Amino acid sequence: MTVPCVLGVAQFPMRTRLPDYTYADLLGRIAYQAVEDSGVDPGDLDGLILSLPPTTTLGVDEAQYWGLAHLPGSRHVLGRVHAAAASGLQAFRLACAWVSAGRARRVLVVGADLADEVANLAGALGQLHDPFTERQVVRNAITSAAVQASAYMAAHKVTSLELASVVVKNRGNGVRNQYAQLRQAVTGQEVADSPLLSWPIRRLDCAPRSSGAAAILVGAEGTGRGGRRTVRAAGFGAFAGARMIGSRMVPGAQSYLDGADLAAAAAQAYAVAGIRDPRTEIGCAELYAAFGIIELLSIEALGLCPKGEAARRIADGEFHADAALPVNPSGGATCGNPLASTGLIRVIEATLQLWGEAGEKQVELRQPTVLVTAIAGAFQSHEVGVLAA
Amino acid sequence: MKGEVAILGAAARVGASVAADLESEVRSVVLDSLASSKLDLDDIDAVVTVASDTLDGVMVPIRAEVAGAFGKMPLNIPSSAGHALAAAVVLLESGQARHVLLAGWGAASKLAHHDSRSIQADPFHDRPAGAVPAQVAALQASELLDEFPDLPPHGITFADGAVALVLGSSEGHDAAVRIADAGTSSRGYYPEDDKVDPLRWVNEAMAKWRQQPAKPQVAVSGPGRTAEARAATAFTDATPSGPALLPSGSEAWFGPATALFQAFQLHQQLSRTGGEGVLIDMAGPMGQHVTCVRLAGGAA
Amino acid sequence: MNKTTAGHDAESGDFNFVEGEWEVHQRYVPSRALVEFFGGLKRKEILGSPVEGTGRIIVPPQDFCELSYRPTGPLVPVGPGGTIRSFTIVHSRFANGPPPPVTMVFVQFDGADTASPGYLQGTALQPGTELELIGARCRAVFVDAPQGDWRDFWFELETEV
Repeated sequence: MTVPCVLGVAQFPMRTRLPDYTYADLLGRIAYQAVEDSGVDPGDLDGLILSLPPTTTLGVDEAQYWGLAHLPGSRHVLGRVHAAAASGLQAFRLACAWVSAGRARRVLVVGADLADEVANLAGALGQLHDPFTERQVVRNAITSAAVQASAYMAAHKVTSLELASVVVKNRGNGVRNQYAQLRQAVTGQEVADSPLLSWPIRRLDCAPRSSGAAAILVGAEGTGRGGRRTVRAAGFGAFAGARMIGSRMVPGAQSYLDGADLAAAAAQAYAVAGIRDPRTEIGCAELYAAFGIIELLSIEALGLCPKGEAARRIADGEFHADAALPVNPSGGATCGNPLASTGLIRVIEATLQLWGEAGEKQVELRQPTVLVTAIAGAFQSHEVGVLAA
Repeated sequence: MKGEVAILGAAARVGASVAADLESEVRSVVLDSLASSKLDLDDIDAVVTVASDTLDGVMVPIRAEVAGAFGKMPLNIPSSAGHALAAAVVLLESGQARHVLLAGWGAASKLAHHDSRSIQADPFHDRPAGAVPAQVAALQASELLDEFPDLPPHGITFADGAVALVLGSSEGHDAAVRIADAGTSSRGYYPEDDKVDPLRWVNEAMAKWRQQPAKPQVAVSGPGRTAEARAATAFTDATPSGPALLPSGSEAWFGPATALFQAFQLHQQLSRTGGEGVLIDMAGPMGQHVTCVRLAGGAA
Repeated sequence: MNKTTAGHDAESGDFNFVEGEWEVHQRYVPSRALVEFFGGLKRKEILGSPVEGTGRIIVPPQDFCELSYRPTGPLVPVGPGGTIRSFTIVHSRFANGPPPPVTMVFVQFDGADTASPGYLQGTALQPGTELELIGARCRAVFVDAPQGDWRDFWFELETEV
């Protein structure tokens, strides 16, 4: 079986608005940048996969036919992958399957977002919720995360200020990320003083609304340009969760509150990648977290620290860029979260770390292995990937 | 994975209008396909879905439990049945899964009352000119009929449907219908080379097959009867009135998953008679995202 | 109706935007179990679906269990008391929400194996005591004339926290 590797990557600086670009413009630019980065001839691709979650923000339904003409690999579209914010990582997993199966040598995965073309995301995200029992209450992304945060604080006696430590870490990391949308550090007190959206979630706990684009060229080992470490997809895991989050927050079945579903997805990925002790065998992690609480739950569910300890450990300096196991040295979704691209950006940042090309964000990797995650819905479905050099 | 990928079980429900209870229909075909494969849901480790958020009114990847996906490795490919079927094949061949459940559905009968697909066109150049999928398909059909007047007239009938296939290794399943080959070909919203003949795309998609099929059963799904008939001419016996051509997607179109019904029909046919089959899925306003799948085997 | 019109910037005259609308009418059809559940609400009853072969009771009811994929049987009464499993106090005005602040709770009805969302009323939480809501007992309280809609009831604490 062929080992799928990352041959080239590209990402667009994340901004609230990109008024000078259409969706088609972004796709074209980012696609060619990734191929150029790989050193491969753009005519030498045999597959194109689109990471494309709900397109209500674009105002175009079934947008997978828009803007594809002349893109590298566009003579062989292999599909649009839609898994909400997990689309990018799920699309990357599919591209790796095509290469691994030997049915394609080089597959380009591309995603682009224009997030500011509608007044608000209510329509776009409204289809997440059950029309009979959830639209009648304000069950949305923010309140869903707030429910998790409340339970976490009660279960582990964590204060709001301790909860804010993860945002402080990420915003500090974002200063060093030239692609980040938010590049100003914040203090815990500033997070705690920011407007209260839904107790205990405050404005600075939340990822911004972002436009952006990202692309990854996947191919067989040795088919890209030389001079770079080979970064291979070492293992994947995934867990499709429940639609009704209330079914997963009762004693005996509370994966919505403790991340057990994510742990199951990680166990799959670890088994394939041969990881027995993630705390010592993982060098770095890029974890998807649109809210600080998601990152805390993720760190624990992935086995990187015991339950309930993530917030305090981060407050003590663990998981920072200069720690033994940095988490989100790019700043993560906290600093920019374009939905089609965000899963791809986790892989791209992981790859840059393994290549030693992360610039100011570069961390010292104790192990040449990076963990990536992406989440669909409100902590509902999970994708986990392990990249290794 | 040892052996080839095979369809181990299949079930389908397609009708004029079942939208009122589509979730139950999806569950029924999933359970029936598992029963026909003699596997349990516990044996499935990945679920691939094909369905449109817009047709469903609910975000499909967050409701994949309707297809039995809870706890499984999900993959949602709303672009076409062909893409999803090819994805299921590579999930198996790459070792990401041992058994895959592929489920697709759609309640397109609602489009008969109001075709909301006008929001599918580029808002800057195409929509102001009135471009909608129905019009684009009609333009293509008109061009094809000008050149090939013996093709059937254009038309498409909206329906509701749900289909499920169980896929796994053919090892130990000697009579299973195997997926022998797959290929793709695609163009932009308006084909870059200005050529709208789907036969060209079908031939491209089949060009790299290890083996060209001889006298296969053919099942096509596309943007309308004219384009489908033209695509089927890739096989000389697949005439509209001939025995080699199975009922096409335009006779009961239920969204991007439609060609799964053609796959189901081929599976049923080849399971009875053996031989070879070709599935042609043409998705998009002109069917410009083409997947061709060669199936083989079944009963001797 | 979907419509798109081209526009020009009023000052510069440059063409730089296109107005559009996206309307896709949806008619959602409730499942058999939900229809029965809404009938129960009209009678001021909370009902749940028992999952065949497992004893698990789901609220809101579904025709089949999303976790086990097994069918569910005739609805059974649950509640009206329950336990708050988590909550949030909404301080923003969302499109489908009441004027803030409003407390949204997830309550596991007595006899049910899932938690369901609703609003908590009649409680003034003192700052610093919010977390005491978790694990607190509450009960569903109905409007005078229920319509068979999830908004027919809210929750009130059985005792003050």
